Amino acid sequence: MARRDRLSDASRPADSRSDGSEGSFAIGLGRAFVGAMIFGLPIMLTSEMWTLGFSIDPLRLALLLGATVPLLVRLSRSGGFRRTASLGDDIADALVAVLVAAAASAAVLALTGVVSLDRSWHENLGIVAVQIVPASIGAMLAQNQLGERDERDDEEVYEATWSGEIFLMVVGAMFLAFNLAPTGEIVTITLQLGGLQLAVLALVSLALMHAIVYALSFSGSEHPHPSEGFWSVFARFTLAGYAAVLLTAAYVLWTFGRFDGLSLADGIGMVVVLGLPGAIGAGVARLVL
Amino acid sequence: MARGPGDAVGETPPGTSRIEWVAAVLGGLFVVAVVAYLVADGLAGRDRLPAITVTATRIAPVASGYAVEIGVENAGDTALDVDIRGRILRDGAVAEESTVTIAELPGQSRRRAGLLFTQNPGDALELRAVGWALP
Repeated sequence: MARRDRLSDASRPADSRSDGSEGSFAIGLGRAFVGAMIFGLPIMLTSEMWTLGFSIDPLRLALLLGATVPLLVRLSRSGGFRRTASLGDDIADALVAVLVAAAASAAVLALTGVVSLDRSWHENLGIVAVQIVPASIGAMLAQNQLGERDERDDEEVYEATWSGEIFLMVVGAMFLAFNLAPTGEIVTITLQLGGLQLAVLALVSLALMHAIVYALSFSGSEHPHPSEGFWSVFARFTLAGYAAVLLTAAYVLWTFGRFDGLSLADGIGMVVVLGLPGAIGAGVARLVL
Repeated sequence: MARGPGDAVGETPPGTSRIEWVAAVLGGLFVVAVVAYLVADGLAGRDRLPAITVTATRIAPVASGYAVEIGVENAGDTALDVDIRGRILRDGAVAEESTVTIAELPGQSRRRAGLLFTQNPGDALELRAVGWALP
């Protein structure tokens, strides 16, 4: 968490941070590009994602892309390329993240011959478009993870709010869900698990999530107020967070058309299966984002 | 340095530079354009089926006989596992038959493939798609 383990001011080279100049913007852009690659590469190089690029329902993809911008704006509030003064700056950062994500995805996919002149531009567009969500989250986080820490984060109360916590969990869950939802393995696993096994999986996911965020003393994990009881923390954060994880998993699966032709029971099972990586992503998001 | 007149210096966080705004506007236009295209495509393509046409682009002798290079075009929606059948018809009878399967045939796309025959198909070639799966 930026506000806890930031670099000390003394170690910060003078004037190297964002000061609104072209030079620092270029550095931020470079970091964003690297972030988009690191977070996006596993998904960019997954063949199911290429097929999804042209088989996905265009309206669902449009909804996803439309929802990505406000998600990034909110994410920019809690981190992003640089400290931001106003909502306008957050919107600018979010839109730049989308642009960088599209450029990074197009570059990687063209270099690997996935996007090519042999395909119609309709195909190429779809293949790049489905990559934008994970890559733009990576671009947005690049400054947090690769860049210098932001002194302003000290003063931000954003992180401490309940909705802020749940939001970060959703972003973490969405990122991991994106990596795994397109794969055939999720269906295979769902079909080989019985109801009891799925229930165990859900309980383990819940326990893991609680353990990662609150019980283990990772740097950056939540330290509940001493007066707050276990059950209160569990219900307000872990349980609510897991519900958000399941909704996120369901949304990603729906967007990718993974429910099509599946029975309701198998659909619910698939949400629970994807909820395991989602819960871990949500737990870790609090530490990474 | 392209500091705008409104940009504060010192303790307050910096504003957004002009060049970043240019990039942001490009990003915004990109999102709007892609979303608009997808919505238009989605509304136009409700319950659309694949529309596949097969044409022979070249016939060339190869070691085992003759290769017919075909172009497969899909003007409709995405199809998977598209089976293409080529038949040589002589005197109303099928003299030879050959098939090929195209794993992915996205909407508004074109793929190339080949069919092999032992005899020269000449003008007696009939080509068509005989089936597909939907994603």
